[in-house]
Amino acid sequence: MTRRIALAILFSAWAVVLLALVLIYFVTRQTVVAELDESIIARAMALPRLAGVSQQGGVGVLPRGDRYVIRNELGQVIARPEGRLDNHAAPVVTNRKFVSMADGGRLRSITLSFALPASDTQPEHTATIVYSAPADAVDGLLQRMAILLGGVGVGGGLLIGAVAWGVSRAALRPLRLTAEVIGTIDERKLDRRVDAAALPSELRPMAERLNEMLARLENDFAQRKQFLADTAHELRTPVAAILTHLEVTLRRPREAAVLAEALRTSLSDVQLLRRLVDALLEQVRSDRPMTAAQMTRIDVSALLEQCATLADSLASAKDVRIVRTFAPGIRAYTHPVALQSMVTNLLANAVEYSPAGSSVELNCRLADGQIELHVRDNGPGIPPDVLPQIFQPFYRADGSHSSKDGHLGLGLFLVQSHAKAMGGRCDVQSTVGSGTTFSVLLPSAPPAAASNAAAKQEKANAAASMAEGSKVVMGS
Amino acid sequence: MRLLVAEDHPKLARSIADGLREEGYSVDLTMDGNEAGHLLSANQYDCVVLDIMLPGKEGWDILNEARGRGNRAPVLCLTARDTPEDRVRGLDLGADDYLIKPFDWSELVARVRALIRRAHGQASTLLRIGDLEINTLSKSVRRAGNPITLSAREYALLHYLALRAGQVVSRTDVWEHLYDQEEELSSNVVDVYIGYLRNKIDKPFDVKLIHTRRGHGYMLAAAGENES
Repeated sequence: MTRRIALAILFSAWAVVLLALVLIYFVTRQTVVAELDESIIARAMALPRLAGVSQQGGVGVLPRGDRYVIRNELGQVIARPEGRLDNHAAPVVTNRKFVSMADGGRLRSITLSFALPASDTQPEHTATIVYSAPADAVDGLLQRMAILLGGVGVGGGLLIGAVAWGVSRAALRPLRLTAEVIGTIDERKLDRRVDAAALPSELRPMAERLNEMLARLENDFAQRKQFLADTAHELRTPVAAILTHLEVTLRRPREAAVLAEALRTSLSDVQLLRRLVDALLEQVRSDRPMTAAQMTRIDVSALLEQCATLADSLASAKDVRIVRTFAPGIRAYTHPVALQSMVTNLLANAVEYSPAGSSVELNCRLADGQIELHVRDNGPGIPPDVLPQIFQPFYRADGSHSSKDGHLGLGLFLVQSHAKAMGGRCDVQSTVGSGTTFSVLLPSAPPAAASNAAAKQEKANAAASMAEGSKVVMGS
Repeated sequence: MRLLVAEDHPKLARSIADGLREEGYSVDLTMDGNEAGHLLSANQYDCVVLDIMLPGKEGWDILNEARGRGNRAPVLCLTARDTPEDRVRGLDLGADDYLIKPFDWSELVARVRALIRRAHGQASTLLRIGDLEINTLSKSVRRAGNPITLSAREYALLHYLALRAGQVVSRTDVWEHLYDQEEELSSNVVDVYIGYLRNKIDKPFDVKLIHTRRGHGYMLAAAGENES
């Protein structure tokens, strides 16, 4: 912006200078031509006097290149006027012009009319002198002046342009360098940063925001890359187990019992793989923000009861009780499939780490426009140093690196992923020796702008969401 | 040949161990990183199949410590991580080979075979001692062109002696390299198997290849190398 303003000012100044140069030219021309005219008139005025002096009817010596014609009233060319002119009324200039000659020269030609008084031989009459003098000197002067002024104008313009270009280029150098840096950034070079300090102060905040954005992207990309690498590992290991087992088994003839055992083992591995693939797909789906079309107003209490009933069988096998401490009839706007997945995962997790005879509490309430969900167990608790890691994908409490005992290590990761996608979050509080509480906070109403459209769609979506809700990853 | 398999996925570990045992190797199996480290320092293995992601101690650390102690057993790293950085790191830490899960069984076996061969300075899969030929691919043995049928144990013993042909191999060495830690062994098991081998390899022929160095052990050598 500054650059454009500076350029506009510079070029306006140049235009003013050009105008001045043109003015100077015309004023000078006017003056020079007027002087020439005066001299021509003076010479023309001298003619009759010369004529009077010369008895031969000649006009004496004219300045070089000068010529004249004298005509009488009738337009007839006469040799010379009768009588002396200089004593009579001043001549009237009736015409002045430049005349181009056949030989390329130019003449300034002035027509003067004289009123001649009556004399002894003539009655009162008028005569006209057309006096011409070479205009070469004036032309030459004006030409040199035009060249000089034109040169000054054009040269000044070029100089201004060059200076403006140079100055703006120098001023824009950091911007250009910044643009070059940005141009080189792709997903493998997200560690590059713009040198904010080298930029003009007005651009610095922009560069700093840009660097912050790059840092976020870099972090996000690194996480995704890690997740992908972890996923590859998680998928490859069971595949390797199946492949190796089948290959080794098939290398020799085996008894039917051995073959059956190989099939059983492979089947359970394939089932594990299927659960892993399902969980990964669910994660990929949950990685995007929920759209209004997927959300609907539901009876949250009923959904929680459903999840708790599902987990009851798992719990009773471990002599753990699931205690419901939520009121019936809590209604809220949410994503039923994701909510069910979160609650199921949290309950399965809590039951898993609960000692026999203890209970798991499932609590829910609406507060400040949010669904507050708590799953509390009386298990051994989680040491503070591993607490930040438990939401990481493929984290397993036993420190193992593979899903050998059916733990995918994706449960809590999915819970958090879902919560974030719904605009909420999942937190954990744990005391070693007394238990762990997972808290999920979710918005309970649609965003204001989307609420109308959402209300319209609600009924239509309810059916679709329920159909989708039939598949939930459990106990991962 | 005695191998160590360290792999924490139980089913995969068992399949690898079973498969390698069927290939005629003695296999020690562990699913824990620390145990793998102990086994590696306590025993002489002809090849180690090492998973990188082990609970307790990572494969990298096991490898690093073993090489630091001067352990030169060939190590085949087994991993589901296949980034170039991982491979470079493994090879730099002293792994001899690298195999990505899932792998072809025949490839794993071929690599183990190649690692053992190279560790003994053998480029070929065919071992020759005098007129005795051992094809390590088909596990077939011929002497003077006549095929000799050996049991898996006998073959393993002959193979080991052949890899160290011309050197005296102690009973303890044989023991260490041919039997895994689970096997109950009688003290003269090596002598018994040497006896079986002599019957099949040397008895029908005039030139004896298996020599006894009393108090030291046994040596497989062609006639000319006999007189040391």
